[in-house]
Amino acid sequence: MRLCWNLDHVLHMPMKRIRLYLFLYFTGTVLLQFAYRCLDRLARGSASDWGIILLEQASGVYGTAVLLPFMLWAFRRYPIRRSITPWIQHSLLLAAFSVLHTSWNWGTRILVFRIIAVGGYDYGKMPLRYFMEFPADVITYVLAAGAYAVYWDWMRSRDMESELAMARLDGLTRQLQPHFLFNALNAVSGLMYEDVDRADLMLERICTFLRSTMRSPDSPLDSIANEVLLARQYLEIMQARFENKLVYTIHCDSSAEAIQIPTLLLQPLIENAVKYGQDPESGNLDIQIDILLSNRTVAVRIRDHGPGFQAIYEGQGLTNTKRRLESRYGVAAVLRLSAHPMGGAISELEIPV
Amino acid sequence: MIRVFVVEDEPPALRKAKRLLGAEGDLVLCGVAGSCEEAIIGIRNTLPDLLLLDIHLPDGSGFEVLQGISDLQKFQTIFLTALVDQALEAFEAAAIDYLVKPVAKERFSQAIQRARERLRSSPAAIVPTFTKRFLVERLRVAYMLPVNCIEWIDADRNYARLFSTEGEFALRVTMDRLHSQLDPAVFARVSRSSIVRLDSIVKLLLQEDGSYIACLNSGAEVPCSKTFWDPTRSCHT
Repeated sequence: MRLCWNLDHVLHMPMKRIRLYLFLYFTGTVLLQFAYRCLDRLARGSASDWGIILLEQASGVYGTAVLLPFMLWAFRRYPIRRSITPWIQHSLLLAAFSVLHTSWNWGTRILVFRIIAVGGYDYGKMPLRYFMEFPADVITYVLAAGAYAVYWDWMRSRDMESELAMARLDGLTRQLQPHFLFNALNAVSGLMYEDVDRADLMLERICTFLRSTMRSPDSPLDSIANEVLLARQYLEIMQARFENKLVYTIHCDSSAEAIQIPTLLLQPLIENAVKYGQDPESGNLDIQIDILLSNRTVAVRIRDHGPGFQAIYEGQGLTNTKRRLESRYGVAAVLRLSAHPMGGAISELEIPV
Repeated sequence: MIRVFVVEDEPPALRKAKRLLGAEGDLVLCGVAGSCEEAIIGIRNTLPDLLLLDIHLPDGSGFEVLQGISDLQKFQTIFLTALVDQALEAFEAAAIDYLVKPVAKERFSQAIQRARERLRSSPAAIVPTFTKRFLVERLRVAYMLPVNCIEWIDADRNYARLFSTEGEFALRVTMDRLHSQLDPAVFARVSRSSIVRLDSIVKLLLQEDGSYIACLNSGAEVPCSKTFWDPTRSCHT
Protein backbone atom coordinates (compact mmCIF):
# COMPACT_ATOMS: atom_id res chain seq x y z
CA MET A 1 0.00 0.00 0.00
CA ARG A 2 1.50 3.28 -1.08
CA LEU A 3 0.13 6.05 1.06
CA CYS A 4 2.08 9.16 0.39
CA TRP A 5 1.95 12.73 -0.59
CA ASN A 6 3.92 12.15 -3.73
CA LEU A 7 1.88 13.83 -6.37
CA ASP A 8 4.68 15.55 -8.20
CA HIS A 9 4.83 12.95 -10.96
CA VAL A 10 1.11 13.39 -11.64
CA LEU A 11 0.86 17.13 -11.34
CA HIS A 12 4.20 17.99 -12.94
CA MET A 13 4.80 20.51 -10.16
CA PRO A 14 7.43 20.59 -7.44
CA MET A 15 6.20 18.88 -4.27
CA LYS A 16 6.89 21.98 -2.19
CA ARG A 17 4.47 24.02 -4.20
CA ILE A 18 1.80 21.31 -4.17
CA ARG A 19 2.00 21.17 -0.36
CA LEU A 20 1.71 24.94 -0.18
CA TYR A 21 -1.38 24.98 -2.42
CA LEU A 22 -3.04 22.21 -0.43
CA PHE A 23 -2.27 23.99 2.84
CA LEU A 24 -3.73 27.24 1.50
CA TYR A 25 -6.81 25.41 0.23
CA PHE A 26 -7.55 23.70 3.53
CA THR A 27 -6.76 26.80 5.58
CA GLY A 28 -9.12 28.79 3.40
CA THR A 29 -11.80 26.18 4.02
CA VAL A 30 -11.22 26.39 7.80
CA LEU A 31 -11.62 30.18 7.74
CA LEU A 32 -14.74 30.11 5.55
CA GLN A 33 -16.39 27.46 7.71
CA PHE A 34 -15.43 29.39 10.82
CA ALA A 35 -16.97 32.54 9.39
CA TYR A 36 -20.11 30.60 8.46
CA ARG A 37 -20.52 29.22 11.97
CA CYS A 38 -19.84 32.56 13.64
CA LEU A 39 -22.31 34.43 11.44
CA ASP A 40 -24.83 31.67 12.06
CA ARG A 41 -24.48 32.13 15.81
CA LEU A 42 -24.64 35.93 15.50
CA ALA A 43 -27.80 35.71 13.43
CA ARG A 44 -29.40 33.54 16.08
CA GLY A 45 -28.08 35.89 18.73
CA SER A 46 -26.72 33.01 20.75
CA ALA A 47 -23.59 33.41 22.81
CA SER A 48 -20.67 31.31 21.78
CA ASP A 49 -17.06 30.57 22.35
CA TRP A 50 -15.23 31.63 19.15
CA GLY A 51 -12.08 29.75 20.12
CA ILE A 52 -13.92 26.47 20.42
CA ILE A 53 -15.61 26.95 17.04
CA LEU A 54 -12.30 27.72 15.34
CA LEU A 55 -10.67 24.71 16.92
CA GLU A 56 -13.51 22.44 15.89
CA GLN A 57 -13.45 23.61 12.29
CA ALA A 58 -9.68 23.42 12.09
CA SER A 59 -9.49 19.87 13.44
CA GLY A 60 -12.30 18.72 11.15
CA VAL A 61 -10.91 20.22 7.93
CA TYR A 62 -7.25 19.42 8.61
CA GLY A 63 -8.40 15.91 9.47
CA THR A 64 -9.66 15.63 5.88
CA ALA A 65 -6.27 16.92 4.70
CA VAL A 66 -4.46 14.29 6.74
CA LEU A 67 -6.71 11.61 5.28
CA LEU A 68 -6.28 12.89 1.70
CA PRO A 69 -3.53 10.37 0.86
CA PHE A 70 -5.85 7.59 2.02
CA MET A 71 -8.55 8.80 -0.36
CA LEU A 72 -6.12 9.22 -3.29
CA TRP A 73 -4.84 5.73 -2.68
CA ALA A 74 -8.40 4.40 -2.64
CA PHE A 75 -9.31 6.16 -5.91
CA ARG A 76 -6.18 4.93 -7.63
CA ARG A 77 -6.32 1.42 -6.27
CA TYR A 78 -10.02 0.80 -6.98
CA PRO A 79 -10.95 2.68 -10.13
CA ILE A 80 -14.68 3.24 -10.58
CA ARG A 81 -16.04 1.05 -13.34
CA ARG A 82 -19.42 0.07 -14.61
CA SER A 83 -19.68 -2.89 -12.27
CA ILE A 84 -20.91 -3.56 -8.78
CA THR A 85 -17.58 -4.45 -7.13
CA PRO A 86 -16.04 -0.97 -7.05
CA TRP A 87 -19.21 0.44 -5.51
CA ILE A 88 -19.04 -2.08 -2.68
CA GLN A 89 -15.33 -1.41 -2.26
CA HIS A 90 -15.86 2.32 -2.11
CA SER A 91 -18.79 2.04 0.34
CA LEU A 92 -16.47 0.19 2.70
CA LEU A 93 -13.67 2.65 2.11
CA LEU A 94 -16.05 5.55 2.73
CA ALA A 95 -17.15 4.02 6.03
CA ALA A 96 -13.50 3.54 7.01
CA PHE A 97 -12.77 7.12 6.04
CA SER A 98 -15.64 8.43 8.11
CA VAL A 99 -14.69 6.41 11.19
CA LEU A 100 -11.07 7.55 10.91
CA HIS A 101 -12.13 11.14 10.43
CA THR A 102 -14.51 11.20 13.42
CA SER A 103 -11.95 9.49 15.63
CA TRP A 104 -9.37 12.01 14.51
CA ASN A 105 -11.75 14.88 15.41
CA TRP A 106 -12.38 13.44 18.81
CA GLY A 107 -8.72 12.63 19.53
CA THR A 108 -7.24 15.92 18.36
CA ARG A 109 -9.86 18.01 20.11
CA ILE A 110 -9.35 16.31 23.48
CA LEU A 111 -5.60 16.60 23.07
CA VAL A 112 -5.56 20.25 22.01
CA PHE A 113 -8.01 21.30 24.70
CA ARG A 114 -5.88 19.65 27.33
CA ILE A 115 -2.70 21.25 26.02
CA ILE A 116 -3.99 24.78 25.86
CA ALA A 117 -5.72 24.16 29.16
CA VAL A 118 -9.14 25.32 28.17
CA GLY A 119 -10.34 22.40 30.14
CA GLY A 120 -11.92 19.17 29.05
CA TYR A 121 -13.70 18.82 25.76
CA ASP A 122 -17.08 17.17 25.62
CA TYR A 123 -17.80 15.52 22.33
CA GLY A 124 -21.06 14.10 23.53
CA LYS A 125 -22.11 10.50 22.85
CA MET A 126 -19.43 8.99 20.65
CA PRO A 127 -21.56 6.35 18.82
CA LEU A 128 -23.97 9.06 17.79
CA ARG A 129 -21.10 11.30 16.67
CA TYR A 130 -20.01 8.69 14.16
CA PHE A 131 -23.46 8.86 12.59
CA MET A 132 -23.56 12.62 12.79
CA GLU A 133 -20.28 13.09 10.91
CA PHE A 134 -21.11 10.47 8.29
CA PRO A 135 -23.25 12.61 5.90
CA ALA A 136 -20.62 15.35 5.81
CA ASP A 137 -17.94 12.77 5.13
CA VAL A 138 -20.00 11.32 2.30
CA ILE A 139 -20.05 14.75 0.66
CA THR A 140 -16.30 15.20 1.15
CA TYR A 141 -15.50 11.73 -0.19
CA VAL A 142 -17.75 12.02 -3.26
CA LEU A 143 -16.45 15.50 -4.10
CA ALA A 144 -12.86 14.27 -3.82
CA ALA A 145 -13.64 11.25 -5.99
CA GLY A 146 -15.28 13.45 -8.60
CA ALA A 147 -12.39 15.89 -8.66
CA TYR A 148 -9.94 13.01 -8.93
CA ALA A 149 -11.86 11.43 -11.84
CA VAL A 150 -12.14 14.69 -13.78
CA TYR A 151 -8.49 15.44 -13.24
CA TRP A 152 -7.41 11.93 -14.18
CA ASP A 153 -9.46 12.00 -17.37
CA TRP A 154 -7.95 15.29 -18.37
CA MET A 155 -4.43 14.01 -17.68
CA ARG A 156 -5.10 10.84 -19.63
CA SER A 157 -6.37 12.59 -22.70
CA ARG A 158 -3.38 14.90 -22.56
CA ASP A 159 -1.05 11.92 -22.23
CA MET A 160 -2.79 10.07 -25.03
CA GLU A 161 -2.44 12.99 -27.37
CA SER A 162 1.23 13.39 -26.67
CA GLU A 163 1.73 9.66 -26.99
CA LEU A 164 -0.11 9.58 -30.28
CA ALA A 165 2.19 12.30 -31.51
CA MET A 166 5.12 10.17 -30.38
CA ALA A 167 3.71 7.09 -32.09
CA ARG A 168 3.22 9.06 -35.29
CA LEU A 169 6.76 10.31 -35.17
CA ASP A 170 7.99 6.81 -34.38
CA GLY A 171 6.04 5.34 -37.25
CA LEU A 172 7.16 8.02 -39.63
CA THR A 173 10.77 7.55 -38.65
CA ARG A 174 10.44 3.84 -39.24
CA GLN A 175 8.77 4.32 -42.60
CA LEU A 176 11.25 6.88 -43.73
CA GLN A 177 14.02 4.47 -42.88
CA PRO A 178 15.88 3.21 -45.91
CA HIS A 179 14.59 -0.29 -45.24
CA PHE A 180 11.09 0.63 -46.01
CA LEU A 181 10.86 3.59 -48.32
CA PHE A 182 13.94 3.16 -50.47
CA ASN A 183 13.45 -0.56 -50.92
CA ALA A 184 9.82 0.06 -51.85
CA LEU A 185 10.86 2.72 -54.37
CA ASN A 186 13.56 0.41 -55.69
CA ALA A 187 10.94 -2.26 -56.32
CA VAL A 188 8.90 0.32 -58.22
CA SER A 189 11.96 1.32 -60.23
CA GLY A 190 12.37 -2.35 -61.20
CA LEU A 191 8.69 -2.93 -61.91
CA MET A 192 8.50 0.06 -64.23
CA TYR A 193 10.32 -1.82 -66.97
CA GLU A 194 8.23 -4.93 -66.55
CA ASP A 195 4.71 -3.77 -65.85
CA VAL A 196 3.87 -0.09 -65.88
CA ASP A 197 0.39 -0.63 -64.41
CA ARG A 198 1.70 -2.57 -61.45
CA ALA A 199 4.42 0.00 -60.85
CA ASP A 200 1.76 2.68 -60.88
CA LEU A 201 -0.42 0.73 -58.47
CA MET A 202 2.50 0.23 -56.13
CA LEU A 203 3.34 3.94 -56.11
CA GLU A 204 -0.26 4.65 -55.27
CA ARG A 205 -0.12 2.17 -52.37
CA ILE A 206 3.06 3.70 -51.01
CA CYS A 207 1.46 7.15 -51.13
CA THR A 208 -1.77 5.98 -49.49
CA PHE A 209 0.14 4.29 -46.72
CA LEU A 210 2.39 7.26 -46.05
CA ARG A 211 -0.62 9.55 -46.09
CA SER A 212 -2.42 7.37 -43.55
CA THR A 213 0.50 7.44 -41.16
CA MET A 214 1.02 11.16 -41.62
CA ARG A 215 -2.53 12.49 -41.56
CA SER A 216 -3.21 14.99 -38.79
CA PRO A 217 -4.76 16.40 -36.72
CA ASP A 218 -6.49 13.33 -35.58
CA SER A 219 -8.04 11.66 -32.60
CA PRO A 220 -5.89 9.38 -30.49
CA LEU A 221 -8.39 6.61 -31.16
CA ASP A 222 -9.22 4.85 -34.38
CA SER A 223 -11.48 1.96 -35.31
CA ILE A 224 -10.03 -1.52 -35.64
CA ALA A 225 -11.32 -1.57 -39.23
CA ASN A 226 -9.09 1.40 -40.08
CA GLU A 227 -6.11 -0.11 -38.33
CA VAL A 228 -6.61 -3.32 -40.30
CA LEU A 229 -6.82 -1.32 -43.53
CA LEU A 230 -3.51 0.31 -42.69
CA ALA A 231 -1.94 -3.08 -41.96
CA ARG A 232 -3.22 -4.36 -45.30
CA GLN A 233 -1.74 -1.41 -47.18
CA TYR A 234 1.58 -1.97 -45.48
CA LEU A 235 1.63 -5.70 -46.18
CA GLU A 236 0.68 -5.13 -49.82
CA ILE A 237 3.71 -2.90 -50.24
CA MET A 238 5.88 -5.53 -48.60
CA GLN A 239 4.37 -8.15 -50.86
CA ALA A 240 5.29 -6.14 -53.92
CA ARG A 241 8.86 -6.23 -52.63
CA PHE A 242 9.04 -9.88 -51.67
CA GLU A 243 6.47 -11.25 -54.15
CA ASN A 244 5.75 -14.92 -53.47
CA LYS A 245 8.22 -14.94 -50.58
CA LEU A 246 5.63 -13.10 -48.47
CA VAL A 247 2.22 -14.50 -47.68
CA TYR A 248 -0.13 -13.08 -45.11
CA THR A 249 -3.63 -13.62 -43.82
CA ILE A 250 -5.73 -11.15 -41.87
CA HIS A 251 -8.77 -12.29 -40.01
CA CYS A 252 -10.87 -9.77 -38.12
CA ASP A 253 -14.17 -10.55 -36.39
CA SER A 254 -16.73 -8.26 -37.98
CA SER A 255 -18.09 -7.49 -34.52
CA ALA A 256 -14.68 -6.10 -33.55
CA GLU A 257 -14.33 -3.71 -36.49
CA ALA A 258 -16.06 -0.72 -34.93
CA ILE A 259 -14.15 -0.93 -31.65
CA GLN A 260 -11.87 2.03 -30.99
CA ILE A 261 -8.24 1.42 -30.12
CA PRO A 262 -5.26 3.80 -29.90
CA THR A 263 -4.32 4.93 -33.41
CA LEU A 264 -1.35 3.12 -34.99
CA LEU A 265 -1.20 0.68 -32.07
CA LEU A 266 -0.80 -2.45 -34.19
CA GLN A 267 1.60 -1.06 -36.76
CA PRO A 268 4.88 -1.53 -34.82
CA LEU A 269 3.91 -5.13 -34.01
CA ILE A 270 3.22 -5.92 -37.66
CA GLU A 271 6.41 -4.24 -38.80
CA ASN A 272 8.33 -6.29 -36.26
CA ALA A 273 6.84 -9.49 -37.62
CA VAL A 274 7.94 -8.52 -41.13
CA LYS A 275 11.37 -7.41 -39.98
CA TYR A 276 12.27 -10.41 -37.87
CA GLY A 277 9.87 -13.06 -39.13
CA GLN A 278 11.78 -14.28 -42.16
CA ASP A 279 12.40 -17.97 -42.18
CA PRO A 280 16.21 -18.17 -42.08
CA GLU A 281 16.19 -21.27 -44.32
CA SER A 282 14.12 -19.98 -47.21
CA GLY A 283 13.83 -16.25 -46.52
CA ASN A 284 10.06 -16.67 -46.72
CA LEU A 285 7.68 -14.58 -44.65
CA ASP A 286 4.39 -16.00 -43.47
CA ILE A 287 2.36 -13.65 -41.27
CA GLN A 288 -1.00 -14.30 -39.69
CA ILE A 289 -3.02 -11.57 -38.05
CA ASP A 290 -6.10 -12.57 -36.08
CA ILE A 291 -8.39 -10.13 -34.31
CA LEU A 292 -11.02 -11.79 -32.17
CA LEU A 293 -13.70 -10.37 -29.91
CA SER A 294 -14.88 -12.40 -26.97
CA ASN A 295 -15.90 -11.70 -23.40
CA ARG A 296 -15.63 -7.93 -23.83
CA THR A 297 -11.97 -8.36 -24.75
CA VAL A 298 -10.32 -7.82 -28.12
CA ALA A 299 -7.51 -10.27 -28.69
CA VAL A 300 -4.99 -9.44 -31.42
CA ARG A 301 -2.53 -12.15 -32.42
CA ILE A 302 0.27 -11.47 -34.84
CA ARG A 303 2.25 -14.54 -35.71
CA ASP A 304 5.27 -15.04 -37.93
CA HIS A 305 7.18 -18.16 -38.91
CA GLY A 306 10.67 -16.83 -38.39
CA PRO A 307 13.42 -17.98 -36.04
CA GLY A 308 11.22 -17.37 -32.97
CA PHE A 309 11.16 -14.75 -30.29
CA GLN A 310 14.33 -12.70 -29.89
CA ALA A 311 15.20 -9.86 -27.59
CA ILE A 312 15.50 -7.49 -30.56
CA TYR A 313 11.73 -7.61 -30.92
CA GLU A 314 11.46 -5.14 -28.07
CA GLY A 315 12.65 -2.10 -29.94
CA GLN A 316 11.68 1.52 -29.63
CA GLY A 317 8.32 0.92 -31.27
CA LEU A 318 7.29 -1.54 -28.58
CA THR A 319 8.35 0.64 -25.66
CA ASN A 320 5.98 3.23 -27.01
CA THR A 321 3.24 0.63 -27.61
CA LYS A 322 3.49 -0.51 -24.00
CA ARG A 323 3.35 3.02 -22.68
CA ARG A 324 0.29 3.82 -24.77
CA LEU A 325 -1.49 0.69 -23.61
CA GLU A 326 -0.72 1.54 -20.02
CA SER A 327 -1.97 5.10 -20.21
CA ARG A 328 -5.18 4.07 -21.97
CA TYR A 329 -6.07 0.86 -20.16
CA GLY A 330 -3.87 0.71 -17.06
CA VAL A 331 -3.24 -2.90 -16.10
CA ALA A 332 -6.30 -4.13 -17.99
CA ALA A 333 -4.46 -4.45 -21.32
CA VAL A 334 -1.84 -7.12 -21.89
CA LEU A 335 0.97 -7.31 -24.44
CA ARG A 336 2.84 -10.60 -24.63
CA LEU A 337 5.68 -11.47 -26.99
CA SER A 338 6.74 -15.06 -27.05
CA ALA A 339 7.96 -17.95 -29.14
CA HIS A 340 5.12 -19.91 -30.66
CA PRO A 341 5.19 -23.60 -29.70
CA MET A 342 4.83 -24.50 -33.38
CA GLY A 343 7.73 -22.24 -34.42
CA GLY A 344 8.01 -18.55 -35.13
CA ALA A 345 7.14 -15.74 -32.77
CA ILE A 346 3.77 -14.46 -31.66
CA SER A 347 2.70 -11.06 -30.34
CA GLU A 348 -0.50 -11.21 -28.35
CA LEU A 349 -2.43 -8.14 -27.37
CA GLU A 350 -5.52 -8.12 -25.19
CA ILE A 351 -7.57 -4.96 -24.88
CA PRO A 352 -10.71 -4.54 -22.76
CA VAL A 353 -13.71 -3.12 -24.63
CA MET B 1 33.82 -11.82 -69.62
CA ILE B 2 33.33 -10.80 -66.01
CA ARG B 3 31.45 -13.36 -63.94
CA VAL B 4 29.05 -11.75 -61.49
CA PHE B 5 27.35 -13.18 -58.43
CA VAL B 6 24.32 -11.28 -57.06
CA VAL B 7 23.16 -11.46 -53.43
CA GLU B 8 19.65 -9.99 -53.13
CA ASP B 9 16.58 -11.26 -51.31
CA GLU B 10 13.84 -9.23 -52.99
CA PRO B 11 12.74 -10.65 -56.36
CA PRO B 12 11.91 -7.34 -58.12
CA ALA B 13 15.20 -5.87 -56.91
CA LEU B 14 17.02 -8.97 -58.21
CA ARG B 15 15.37 -8.66 -61.62
CA LYS B 16 16.36 -5.03 -61.75
CA ALA B 17 19.97 -5.90 -60.91
CA LYS B 18 19.94 -8.59 -63.59
CA ARG B 19 18.65 -6.15 -66.17
CA LEU B 20 21.31 -3.60 -65.27
CA LEU B 21 23.97 -6.30 -65.54
CA GLY B 22 22.57 -7.51 -68.87
CA ALA B 23 22.85 -4.02 -70.33
CA GLU B 24 26.60 -3.99 -69.77
CA GLY B 25 27.42 -6.55 -72.44
CA ASP B 26 30.56 -8.08 -71.00
CA LEU B 27 29.04 -9.38 -67.77
CA VAL B 28 27.71 -12.85 -67.21
CA LEU B 29 25.67 -13.87 -64.20
CA CYS B 30 27.21 -16.91 -62.53
CA GLY B 31 24.90 -17.20 -59.54
CA VAL B 32 22.37 -15.57 -57.26
CA ALA B 33 21.60 -15.98 -53.56
CA GLY B 34 18.90 -14.64 -51.23
CA SER B 35 20.57 -15.28 -47.89
CA CYS B 36 24.01 -15.28 -46.27
CA GLU B 37 24.28 -19.05 -46.21
CA GLU B 38 23.25 -19.47 -49.83
CA ALA B 39 25.64 -16.70 -50.78
CA ILE B 40 28.68 -18.20 -49.05
CA ILE B 41 28.13 -21.64 -50.54
CA GLY B 42 27.16 -20.28 -53.96
CA ILE B 43 30.22 -18.03 -54.15
CA ARG B 44 32.51 -20.90 -53.19
CA ASN B 45 30.91 -23.03 -55.89
CA THR B 46 31.30 -20.46 -58.63
CA LEU B 47 34.27 -18.25 -57.68
CA PRO B 48 32.94 -15.08 -59.33
CA ASP B 49 35.00 -12.06 -60.40
CA LEU B 50 32.49 -9.56 -59.11
CA LEU B 51 30.06 -9.66 -56.22
CA LEU B 52 26.96 -7.47 -56.11
CA LEU B 53 25.98 -7.49 -52.45
CA ASP B 54 22.91 -6.36 -50.53
CA ILE B 55 23.42 -5.59 -46.82
CA HIS B 56 20.06 -6.51 -45.30
CA LEU B 57 19.54 -10.26 -45.66
CA PRO B 58 17.10 -12.55 -43.85
CA ASP B 59 19.76 -14.46 -41.92
CA GLY B 60 22.34 -11.73 -41.39
CA SER B 61 24.16 -8.94 -43.19
CA GLY B 62 26.23 -8.69 -46.32
CA PHE B 63 29.27 -8.17 -44.13
CA GLU B 64 28.82 -11.67 -42.75
CA VAL B 65 28.95 -12.99 -46.30
CA LEU B 66 32.28 -11.25 -46.84
CA GLN B 67 33.61 -12.69 -43.59
CA GLY B 68 32.50 -16.16 -44.63
CA ILE B 69 34.51 -15.98 -47.86
CA SER B 70 37.43 -13.92 -46.61
CA ASP B 71 39.89 -16.63 -47.75
CA LEU B 72 38.86 -16.06 -51.38
CA GLN B 73 40.69 -13.08 -52.75
CA LYS B 74 40.21 -12.77 -56.42
CA PHE B 75 36.78 -11.12 -56.46
CA GLN B 76 35.73 -7.47 -56.26
CA THR B 77 32.69 -6.32 -54.28
CA ILE B 78 30.10 -3.66 -55.06
CA PHE B 79 27.46 -3.01 -52.40
CA LEU B 80 23.94 -2.38 -53.65
CA THR B 81 21.70 -1.49 -50.73
CA ALA B 82 19.02 0.83 -49.44
CA LEU B 83 21.04 1.56 -46.30
CA VAL B 84 22.88 4.83 -46.60
CA ASP B 85 24.82 4.75 -43.37
CA GLN B 86 27.05 1.72 -43.82
CA ALA B 87 29.30 2.95 -46.58
CA LEU B 88 32.20 3.36 -44.19
CA GLU B 89 32.05 -0.27 -43.11
CA ALA B 90 31.68 -1.28 -46.74
CA PHE B 91 34.88 0.44 -47.78
CA GLU B 92 36.62 -0.95 -44.73
CA ALA B 93 35.60 -4.34 -46.05
CA ALA B 94 37.43 -3.41 -49.28
CA ALA B 95 34.38 -2.74 -51.43
CA ILE B 96 35.16 -0.88 -54.66
CA ASP B 97 31.84 0.95 -54.75
CA TYR B 98 28.69 1.54 -52.74
CA LEU B 99 25.43 2.00 -54.62
CA VAL B 100 22.20 3.07 -52.96
CA LYS B 101 18.82 1.85 -54.12
CA PRO B 102 17.15 2.78 -56.33
CA VAL B 103 20.26 3.14 -58.49
CA ALA B 104 20.29 4.88 -61.86
CA LYS B 105 21.69 3.09 -64.89
CA GLU B 106 24.53 5.64 -65.31
CA ARG B 107 25.67 5.31 -61.73
CA PHE B 108 25.54 1.53 -62.02
CA SER B 109 27.63 1.59 -65.21
CA GLN B 110 30.14 3.80 -63.47
CA ALA B 111 30.54 1.25 -60.69
CA ILE B 112 30.91 -1.59 -63.19
CA GLN B 113 33.52 0.42 -65.09
CA ARG B 114 35.42 0.82 -61.86
CA ALA B 115 35.24 -2.95 -61.35
CA ARG B 116 36.50 -3.59 -64.90
CA GLU B 117 39.52 -1.36 -64.37
CA ARG B 118 40.24 -2.92 -61.03
CA LEU B 119 40.00 -6.44 -62.41
CA ARG B 120 42.14 -5.58 -65.42
CA SER B 121 44.89 -3.91 -63.42
CA SER B 122 44.99 -6.45 -60.62
CA PRO B 123 47.83 -8.90 -61.10
CA ALA B 124 46.85 -12.28 -62.40
CA ALA B 125 44.66 -13.56 -59.65
CA ILE B 126 46.53 -15.55 -57.09
CA VAL B 127 45.31 -19.04 -57.73
CA PRO B 128 44.10 -20.32 -54.40
CA THR B 129 45.79 -23.50 -53.30
CA PHE B 130 43.53 -26.41 -52.63
CA THR B 131 44.13 -29.46 -50.53
CA LYS B 132 45.64 -32.43 -52.42
CA ARG B 133 45.29 -35.07 -49.73
CA PHE B 134 43.31 -35.65 -46.57
CA LEU B 135 44.78 -37.47 -43.62
CA VAL B 136 42.16 -40.07 -42.74
CA GLU B 137 42.08 -42.93 -40.28
CA ARG B 138 40.43 -46.31 -40.31
CA LEU B 139 40.95 -49.11 -37.79
CA ARG B 140 44.03 -47.43 -36.30
CA VAL B 141 45.67 -47.07 -39.70
CA ALA B 142 46.18 -43.60 -41.17
CA TYR B 143 46.02 -43.03 -44.90
CA MET B 144 46.93 -40.09 -47.08
CA LEU B 145 43.77 -40.06 -49.16
CA PRO B 146 44.28 -38.19 -52.47
CA VAL B 147 41.49 -35.75 -53.27
CA ASN B 148 41.46 -37.26 -56.80
CA CYS B 149 39.91 -40.48 -55.62
CA ILE B 150 37.03 -38.83 -53.67
CA GLU B 151 33.69 -39.20 -55.45
CA TRP B 152 31.45 -37.36 -53.03
CA ILE B 153 31.22 -36.19 -49.43
CA ASP B 154 28.28 -36.30 -47.07
CA ALA B 155 27.86 -34.50 -43.75
CA ASP B 156 27.21 -36.68 -40.71
CA ARG B 157 26.81 -34.53 -37.59
CA ASN B 158 30.32 -33.30 -36.70
CA TYR B 159 31.92 -35.55 -39.30
CA ALA B 160 32.20 -35.63 -43.03
CA ARG B 161 31.96 -39.03 -44.69
CA LEU B 162 34.28 -39.24 -47.70
CA PHE B 163 33.19 -41.76 -50.34
CA SER B 164 36.24 -42.65 -52.40
CA THR B 165 37.53 -45.39 -54.69
CA GLU B 166 39.46 -46.60 -51.61
CA GLY B 167 36.28 -46.96 -49.58
CA GLU B 168 34.53 -44.80 -47.04
CA PHE B 169 36.31 -42.61 -44.47
CA ALA B 170 35.11 -40.29 -41.75
CA LEU B 171 36.83 -36.97 -41.15
CA ARG B 172 36.10 -34.63 -38.28
CA VAL B 173 35.59 -31.36 -40.16
CA THR B 174 32.76 -28.99 -41.04
CA MET B 175 31.32 -28.89 -44.54
CA ASP B 176 32.17 -25.17 -44.75
CA ARG B 177 35.81 -25.90 -44.03
CA LEU B 178 35.94 -28.81 -46.50
CA HIS B 179 34.23 -26.74 -49.16
CA SER B 180 36.88 -24.05 -48.87
CA GLN B 181 39.66 -26.67 -49.26
CA LEU B 182 38.34 -28.11 -52.53
CA ASP B 183 38.71 -26.71 -56.05
CA PRO B 184 35.28 -25.48 -57.21
CA ALA B 185 36.20 -26.42 -60.77
CA VAL B 186 36.32 -30.05 -59.63
CA PHE B 187 33.89 -30.23 -56.71
CA ALA B 188 30.54 -28.53 -56.19
CA ARG B 189 28.64 -28.18 -52.97
CA VAL B 190 25.26 -29.31 -54.21
CA SER B 191 23.42 -28.90 -50.93
CA ARG B 192 24.04 -27.89 -47.34
CA SER B 193 25.24 -31.39 -46.53
CA SER B 194 26.82 -32.75 -49.74
CA ILE B 195 29.82 -32.04 -51.95
CA VAL B 196 30.10 -33.91 -55.26
CA ARG B 197 32.91 -34.37 -57.81
CA LEU B 198 31.44 -32.84 -60.96
CA ASP B 199 33.09 -35.41 -63.25
CA SER B 200 31.49 -38.27 -61.40
CA ILE B 201 27.95 -37.09 -62.14
CA VAL B 202 26.47 -39.44 -64.75
CA LYS B 203 23.05 -37.83 -64.94
CA LEU B 204 20.74 -35.45 -63.09
CA LEU B 205 17.15 -36.47 -62.37
CA LEU B 206 14.88 -33.42 -62.39
CA GLN B 207 12.41 -33.43 -59.54
CA GLU B 208 8.95 -31.90 -59.44
CA ASP B 209 10.00 -29.03 -57.17
CA GLY B 210 12.77 -27.99 -59.57
CA SER B 211 15.64 -29.58 -57.65
CA TYR B 212 17.83 -32.44 -58.92
CA ILE B 213 19.10 -35.81 -57.81
CA ALA B 214 22.62 -36.41 -59.03
CA CYS B 215 23.39 -40.05 -60.04
CA LEU B 216 27.09 -40.78 -59.65
CA ASN B 217 29.46 -43.27 -61.27
CA SER B 218 29.36 -45.50 -58.22
CA GLY B 219 25.55 -45.61 -58.31
CA ALA B 220 25.13 -43.24 -55.36
CA GLU B 221 22.24 -40.80 -55.61
CA VAL B 222 22.77 -37.34 -54.07
CA PRO B 223 19.93 -34.81 -53.68
CA CYS B 224 20.89 -31.33 -54.83
CA SER B 225 19.40 -28.08 -53.53
CA LYS B 226 18.51 -25.61 -56.25
CA THR B 227 19.27 -22.66 -54.01
CA PHE B 228 22.88 -23.73 -53.41
CA TRP B 229 23.85 -25.18 -56.75
CA ASP B 230 22.66 -24.37 -60.23
CA PRO B 231 23.96 -26.97 -62.73
CA THR B 232 23.11 -24.71 -65.67
CA ARG B 233 25.61 -22.17 -64.38
CA SER B 234 28.25 -24.43 -62.97
CA CYS B 235 28.82 -26.04 -66.40
CA HIS B 236 30.52 -22.83 -67.54
CA THR B 237 33.41 -23.43 -65.19
